[in-house]
Amino acid sequence: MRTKLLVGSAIVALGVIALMILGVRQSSSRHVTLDVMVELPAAEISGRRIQLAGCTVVPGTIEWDEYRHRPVFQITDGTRHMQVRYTGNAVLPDTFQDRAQLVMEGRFLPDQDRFEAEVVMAKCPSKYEGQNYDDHRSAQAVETVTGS
Amino acid sequence: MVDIGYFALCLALAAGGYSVFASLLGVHRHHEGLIRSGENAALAVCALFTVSALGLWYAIFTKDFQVQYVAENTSLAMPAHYVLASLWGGQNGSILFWGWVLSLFTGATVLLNRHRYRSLMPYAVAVLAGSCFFFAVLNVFAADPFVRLSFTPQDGSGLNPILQHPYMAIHPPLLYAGMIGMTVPYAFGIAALAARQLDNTWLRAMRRWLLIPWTFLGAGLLLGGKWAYVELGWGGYWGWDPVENASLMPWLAATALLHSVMIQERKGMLKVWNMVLLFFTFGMTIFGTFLTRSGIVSSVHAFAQSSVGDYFVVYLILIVLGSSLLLLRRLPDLKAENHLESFASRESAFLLNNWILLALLFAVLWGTLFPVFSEAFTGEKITVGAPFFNQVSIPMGLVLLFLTGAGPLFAWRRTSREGFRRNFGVPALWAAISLMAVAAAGVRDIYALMSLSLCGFVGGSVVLEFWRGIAARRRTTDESALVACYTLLAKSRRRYGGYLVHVAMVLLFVGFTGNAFSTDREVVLHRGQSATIGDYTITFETLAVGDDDTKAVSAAALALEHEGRFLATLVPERHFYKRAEQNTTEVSIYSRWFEDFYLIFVGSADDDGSAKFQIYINPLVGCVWWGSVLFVLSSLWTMWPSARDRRMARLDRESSPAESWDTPLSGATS
Repeated sequence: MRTKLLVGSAIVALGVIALMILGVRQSSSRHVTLDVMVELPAAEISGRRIQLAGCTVVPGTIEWDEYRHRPVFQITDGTRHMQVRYTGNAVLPDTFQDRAQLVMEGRFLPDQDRFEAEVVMAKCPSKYEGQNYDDHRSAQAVETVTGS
Repeated sequence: MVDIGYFALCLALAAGGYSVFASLLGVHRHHEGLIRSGENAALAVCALFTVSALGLWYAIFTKDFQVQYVAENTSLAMPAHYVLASLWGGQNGSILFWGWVLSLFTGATVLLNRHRYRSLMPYAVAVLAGSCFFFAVLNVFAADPFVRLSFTPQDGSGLNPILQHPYMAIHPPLLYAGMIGMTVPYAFGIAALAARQLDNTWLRAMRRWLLIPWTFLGAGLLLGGKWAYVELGWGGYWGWDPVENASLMPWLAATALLHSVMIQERKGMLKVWNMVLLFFTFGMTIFGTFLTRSGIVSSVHAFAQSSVGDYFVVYLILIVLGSSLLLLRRLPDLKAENHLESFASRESAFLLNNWILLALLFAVLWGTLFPVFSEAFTGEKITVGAPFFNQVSIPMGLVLLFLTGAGPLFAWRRTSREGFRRNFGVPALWAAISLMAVAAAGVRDIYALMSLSLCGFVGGSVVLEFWRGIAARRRTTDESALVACYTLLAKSRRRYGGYLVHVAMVLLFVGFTGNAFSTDREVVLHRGQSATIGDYTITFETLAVGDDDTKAVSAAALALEHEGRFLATLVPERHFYKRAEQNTTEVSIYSRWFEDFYLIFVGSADDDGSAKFQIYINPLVGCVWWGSVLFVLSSLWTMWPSARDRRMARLDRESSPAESWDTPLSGATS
């Protein structure tokens, strides 16, 4: 019984490992920040799915198409800027707005200096994060000054 | 009130420390007074945390914006019932909330077991009070929710609009209660090891306390899915985000434990395995919390990176080291009384169920941590997305589904060839019928065919079990079938309640399978124009815009027809919250028995008044919600004390064995 049990568990384990390896092959993307991405050699970029994190939307740069569906916008990591075009189907999350922190998946086109995002996730600003109090205060101050 | 809250927190810290000390010293010296004192200190921790939480709530309700936490998480314009949720809306408050709920669980454990499990209680109290102590430390030193600003702002920044939703007010507390509640079974496990009381007594205590957080966690997960579905507007309910995974993993571990515990109770096997599984379940709750608060994996909704993560690492290391050392010392006491005799036995089916659940857990863990591993080993941070999780979890889910139905059909020890035929005949027939029905309906997706046919199999197996139980009762009594069914459910809550949970799982799987057939379309319509999607036709009738103090609303009205028959006028909306400068989509969902018509208003063009819509047709999604409801109800039914349990508890109280203290080995007292 003991050997049978071992054989049984080995089969289960092998099946699971096979599934995991196949799964990783099919749906992996490389996670980078903006400064790393622009330095990558072309061979590592072409056709590779990239997950880009650590950037925020530059305020005022979101240009929507006529139905407010697929925007073009600028992102920044504080020092660098880059243009992003959204090409996905899903309606962008409600949290996508100026200064939103983004995690995007898509492809980088170095020759056009542009990132084509198929998936855009805007960090749940909640609640948990993003509502930095100082930012909020300064934003309010600007609002009052411009009288809007 | 704010100062009182902070002061109560400091006192809770002291009382928690004292409770651990008194309980352990008391049990060491066989001193009953000290043990009681430790329990009372644990109750004091509960009271003090309550005062502290009320203090923060008071500050939130009175909009005391000088308190930084209040300023960051509420605003004047927020409706009162969402203000309530601000307590757990931010990092520091959520840790206070965590400590508070933990102290409530601790208090309940102490009060309910004044006369029960006496030799286990001192250790259990020490573990629980120790955990409360940890959260008090965290609150006082790393995440103080009562910090004041040097000035008093006019208004706070408020809670994000999309979180201002009823589901979002209930979902986090449910998840928290589930995660936190796992501490109680863990405490009983440690206590059983420490007191060397490793018979079935602690197992019963542990199992009941495990069912409660397991139900909470499951309900929290499902409710989170429902919220995502109606509020986020991407047509789905589960995205395999690290934060979602962090709460799924302990649930999977606990599910495995709930099943394998039965083998230990009945056959005295798997003792070490169950203990490890229990520690692992608890460890996963802490690890998951660490994952979401340390920022080591990027998630859509992780908390801010903060020093809280470091505290959790220390806590986790202490738990792992302490638990494993204790377990190693007690290994000789955990010898199995029986061995597996045959593959075709209920034991084997449960064991396989455990393996698959854990394999699924590890696959989810692997996918979640893949970026961390790949960066450590190759220097490249690689992430895996939803397709990975789906590809891995679907086959394993199907095996689990099969076992859900097959487990109860196997006999203990060994299933005879005859018994096999007798038990598997009906469910196999059900499986065949559902397979043919589904195939006849035009389904060709291999996973969907397998899943739905297995759902038929499990359904057949549950019906067979009920049928046999009812028939057996009716042979000895003159009950009607309905009464007999009720008596079964009321008398053997664990068994038949458990089967109802299995039915809930079947419904959930039917709902999940629906994803294989969902379609999505994008259409642009001018006013009066129609579009046809599948059997449905929508006609864009009109567009209205409005405006109030807090938000601007644009709403589109569309007539929905199905095969030429008018169903409803759908009104999807877009809201623009002026203060947060944020857009939200209010989707419009028309639910029919078999599918949902899910309509999103993407936006309208200013010049010609045309509008763009996105449409998802989600077949079978309703089964997920019905399955969720049944899951919660049947879990509650299962854990509710039966008449026999209540009688036992009364006997315990009356015989009051609290005096039999002298030695910690003086027998469990139930």
